[in-house]
Amino acid sequence: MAVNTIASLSSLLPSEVVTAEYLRMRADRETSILAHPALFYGGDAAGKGSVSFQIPQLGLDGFRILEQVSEVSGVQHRAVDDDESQLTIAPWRKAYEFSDLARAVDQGLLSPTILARDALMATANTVVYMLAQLVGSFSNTSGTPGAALTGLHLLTAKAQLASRSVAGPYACVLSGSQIEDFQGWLAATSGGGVQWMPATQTQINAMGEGYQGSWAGVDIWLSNRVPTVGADSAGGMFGRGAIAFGDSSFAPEPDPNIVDFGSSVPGGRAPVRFERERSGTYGTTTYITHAQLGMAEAQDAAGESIITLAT
Amino acid sequence: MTVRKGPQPKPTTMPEQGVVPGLSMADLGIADGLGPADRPRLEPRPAALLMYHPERWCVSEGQVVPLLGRMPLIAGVGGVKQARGGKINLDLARASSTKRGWTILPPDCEGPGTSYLHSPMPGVYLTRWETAHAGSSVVSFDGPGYAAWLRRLMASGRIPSPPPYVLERLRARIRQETLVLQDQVRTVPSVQVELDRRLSDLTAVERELDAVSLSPIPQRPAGLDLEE
Repeated sequence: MAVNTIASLSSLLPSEVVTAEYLRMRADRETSILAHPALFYGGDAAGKGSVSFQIPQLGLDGFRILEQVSEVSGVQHRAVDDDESQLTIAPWRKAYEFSDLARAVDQGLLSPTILARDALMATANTVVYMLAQLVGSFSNTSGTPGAALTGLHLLTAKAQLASRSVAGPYACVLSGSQIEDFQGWLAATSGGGVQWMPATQTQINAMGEGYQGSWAGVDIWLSNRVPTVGADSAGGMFGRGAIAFGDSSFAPEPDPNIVDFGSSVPGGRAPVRFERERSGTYGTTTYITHAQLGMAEAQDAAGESIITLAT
Repeated sequence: MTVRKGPQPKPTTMPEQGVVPGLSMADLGIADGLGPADRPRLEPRPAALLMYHPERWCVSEGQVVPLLGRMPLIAGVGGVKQARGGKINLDLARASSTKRGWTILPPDCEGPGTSYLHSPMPGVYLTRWETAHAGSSVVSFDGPGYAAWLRRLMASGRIPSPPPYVLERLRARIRQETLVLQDQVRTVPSVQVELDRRLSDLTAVERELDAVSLSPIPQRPAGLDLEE
């Protein structure tokens, strides 16, 4: 357990004057993918009686076409096609504890407001982290393990999704090395003639730093949380239904030291509880972020893993 | 110069210049702000179980091998649940992945006392073909060793051989890629390396196809209700 004291904050509070601004440490902050229509929101577990719940899938709205029959013969009665997938919600949490002396001299850099903003961004990043863990394990794959990612791999993935009637628009999550290889391929082989639309500053402002742009109608995000499998990065492309995520809102707590934020993600999702906990004995204050999140693969055929060389 | 009388002190071995034997920076209570130099500088990596799928195959190190997936052991991801005592419950996750055709490879799938996972530092889990380096965030990977392990699992029957239709599909995909690369190499000579690799992969798939036995589902004649 770490307590933030004057000694542990030595980089922040030495004899030098601390500047009014601080540099953010490097991290993925590309949470805009969570608002993409390809990601399916499975719901809030609160009040459902279990941390695991089913997401039903129904074969209606034209899933099955009519059967051609003879003029006076009966038609076989059919069960409605259906399937299900499971979502399990788990608690996620982090806590920062500060000594009174550290707080007294921090010049507001560690104020509750800043920590609350961190709580929201960290929760949204956690959802992206969960997404990155899953996109590499669809049973369908494109890409060539051990080889650099090319546009052909992306086109294959897109064509495969389209051939399985997966609803667009598609989202794609790739690692940094995959993006680098893809852009190298674009520069070397296409002469810039392929419909690559790099993210504009306006889009980056709106969609986050991880949004790379759109290619062949697919929105592409970079996440360095994409895991490796052997020597390869396991990114992926998916349409609506491939991945479902869920959350749980918190039961009301009539405590003035607890603040519930409705959501950390667009659409009122991934609610965050931000809590202040005082220890008078030790002269410390702890700020705790709570979230209750779950994510799972729903329709396997609606996703395509893209597995290519990681370095 | 005075000469001291009596017993002479024993000669001592002079330490190497600049080195004080037995005392480190940490022993002296000096924090250098960098942390222990003998530790890898890796972000936390959760443990993940490897799993294989009958339709995911690739060519690695000149051999056809399964393209394994990962089941991250993170509660809330993919149906993984927390159990009592902070343990992980895989019941739902296993059922869900099995339904989609995956088979989980337990870490000790090669026998008791073995494991394909190791932990070079707390919170970081790597496969045994991945090596962390002191003071570095680089993780190196033993591709030939990994491919040999996969082939061993195939030879032992732990992972069944690839179905012929999957190999045929893999062959068709590689052929298609080689055609495109053959076009590209005319204007971009550096593509030749990748083209050679894919041609070599094609040979490996064809060799595997020769080795696996074809076991298609028996065919029955279909009756049609046609008017004479």
